[in-house]
Amino acid sequence: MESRLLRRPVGTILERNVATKSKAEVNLHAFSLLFGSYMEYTLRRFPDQQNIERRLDETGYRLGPRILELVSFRERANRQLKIQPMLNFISTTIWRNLFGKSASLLKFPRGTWGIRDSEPLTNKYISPNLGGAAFIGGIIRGILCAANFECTVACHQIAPEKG
Amino acid sequence: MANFARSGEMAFLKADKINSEIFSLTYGAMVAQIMKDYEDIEEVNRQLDRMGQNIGSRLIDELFAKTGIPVSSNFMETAEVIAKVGFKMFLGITANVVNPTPQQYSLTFRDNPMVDFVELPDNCANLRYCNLLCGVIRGALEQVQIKVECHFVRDMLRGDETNEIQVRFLEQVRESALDQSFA
Amino acid sequence: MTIFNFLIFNPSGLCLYFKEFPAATSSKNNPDSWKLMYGLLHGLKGFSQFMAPRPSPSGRYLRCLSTHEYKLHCFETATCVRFVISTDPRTPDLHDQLATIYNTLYVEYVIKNPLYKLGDRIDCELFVTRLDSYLRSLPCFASS
Repeated sequence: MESRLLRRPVGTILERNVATKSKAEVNLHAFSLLFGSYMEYTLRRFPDQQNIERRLDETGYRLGPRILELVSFRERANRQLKIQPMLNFISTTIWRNLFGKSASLLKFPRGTWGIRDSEPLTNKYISPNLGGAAFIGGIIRGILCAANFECTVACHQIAPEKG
Repeated sequence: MANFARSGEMAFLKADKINSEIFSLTYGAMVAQIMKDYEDIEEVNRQLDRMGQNIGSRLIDELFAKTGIPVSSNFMETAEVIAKVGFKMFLGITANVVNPTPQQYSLTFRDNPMVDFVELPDNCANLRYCNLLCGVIRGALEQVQIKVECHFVRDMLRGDETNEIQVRFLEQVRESALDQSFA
Repeated sequence: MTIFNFLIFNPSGLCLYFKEFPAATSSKNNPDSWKLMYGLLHGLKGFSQFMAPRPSPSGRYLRCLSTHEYKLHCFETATCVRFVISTDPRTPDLHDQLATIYNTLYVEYVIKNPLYKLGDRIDCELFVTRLDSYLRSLPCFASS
């Protein structure tokens, strides 16, 4: 263990400055191909379309808390205690950090909200019928849970909304 | 050689891009999920390789379609194409070709947008986190009738000072015997 | 000028996609004709390679095959997928159009579709509809 730490060369994770957003970019196709291949993997392992959305949601959920921490730290954001400012934070600041654009926040009756993104990342090159957006739904759910909001997130396609 | 680098850069410039952090976080979540599915680390490595192969066999068409570089079925030439066009076009980085011979070559690179924020815990010492890349290379070359074997020999996540992927030539698959009947 | 039919072959000679237009009076919509067609293309490829005075830098040799009654236009990708279109003999070369089909339709809607397994017959809806409208938009189609 110790020897491993000693061998650790320069330029590793501990020396990286997390406070500034990395400027590096990758090809969106690389993301789409990776995402498509992960879907293929999931379908191979769990050959049921219903499952794939649940699994993508679960995978996205893992990201939620990390993204919340990272973005809050970078933007020096305060903790949001009310749902509306929280969702606002997600649909603007976090969205901009992740996808380079903001989404619109919609309010529906009975405590339901929607975040609308006309062209979600996961659907850009992948047929939307496969429910790839469930991944983004999972990210939102992860963020909200990490911020102590209880919620359920559903993705709808016709007028593409998540809320 | 210079125009490979240029083709790769042009293709990267023209492509739609996303921030590398969301890419690496997503990949990380996928690896974590696969590790949950298969507890055996070796099996995880295999699954990542297989996912990569699937990507590679698709990505190669994208590469040719977007760059228009000529087809090459010469093994040694593929090294430059992978290092300067493939890596650049998709990941925005370039790799160096080391020790090319007709039988094998190595690709080395230090920047890797797949490993932002990643540190391997001690119980995953055998995990080859970026094994996906090996699969990609193998899958892509398979589509141009070249069979190779591909693996990480050095990995920065495991304390090496650079990443090195070794590609070893296995065989050239002929499309069919018909090709040769005229030769 | 007219388009008769359009085919895509994978490297092992399977017909991945076939589309016939009404102008074709004798139908080629059966696996035996596809096999014959593939055999012809394959043989011609070897032959044109053999006849070439110097090796082609792009690795491509065959562009089209013209007879009195029809003309076959071919495009072969680096991955050995072949796109073939059969038209009236007066139609100008459609090599570039086939390359466009590969670049903008096949790669975007077939290759990137995670549900499509390489080597399967293509039934991706988006590809089929876009291809149809693209072929219909070609000048050689309009004048039929």
